[in-house]
Amino acid sequence: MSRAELYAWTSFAALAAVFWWFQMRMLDGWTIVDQPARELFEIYILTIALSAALEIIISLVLFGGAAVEKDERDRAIEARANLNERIFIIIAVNILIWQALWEGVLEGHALPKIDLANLPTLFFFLFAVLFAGEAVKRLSTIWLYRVQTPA
Amino acid sequence: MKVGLTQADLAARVGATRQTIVAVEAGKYAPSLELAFRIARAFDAPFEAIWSFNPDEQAAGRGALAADD
Repeated sequence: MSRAELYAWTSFAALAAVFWWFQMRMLDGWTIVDQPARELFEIYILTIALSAALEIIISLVLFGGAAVEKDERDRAIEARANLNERIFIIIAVNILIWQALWEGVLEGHALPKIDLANLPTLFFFLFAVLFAGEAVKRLSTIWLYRVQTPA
Repeated sequence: MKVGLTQADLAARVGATRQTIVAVEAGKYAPSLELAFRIARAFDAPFEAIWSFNPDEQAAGRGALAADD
């Protein structure tokens, strides 16, 4: 396993840990907890800080703080994973847009409802899309290292 | 081609990781032209002696090191 691949695995685990913490602050079961903007902002700052702290710890523990050495295959895999992340985020944001429009245009419809006019709900879904996009990127990286080669 | 180089040795000579050399050998990764030339130079052999090209097999965009001889 190359150092770049090891980094992909550990950073994916870190991402999962941060998302677990995030959802603990945002959800009560499957319900998004109603919180004022001030608390949401605190969650936002803490989530960013926690992610950065874990990345720094991973870098220090695994590589002594040095940058991960990458060759052309590493960069090709990274580029493909970034593309997958971008595609995922575009699709996910468009789904949210459609969802918001359904709410306004098709009042009383039987489709699953997400109240994006509610601030905590909007905050949770936008952040969840970012988390999921990052997860797609890191899983793509692991997949490409393990099984395939980027075209 | 057998010249007593390990994958790690070759990787160090051409500025790649050993995993990349493994992927190239397995036909899972098509190296850039620059890396392909570096590998040929590491073996001190002509490009054609190291690399083969079969259009049918290359449809998937993969490169291949020539088989051991």
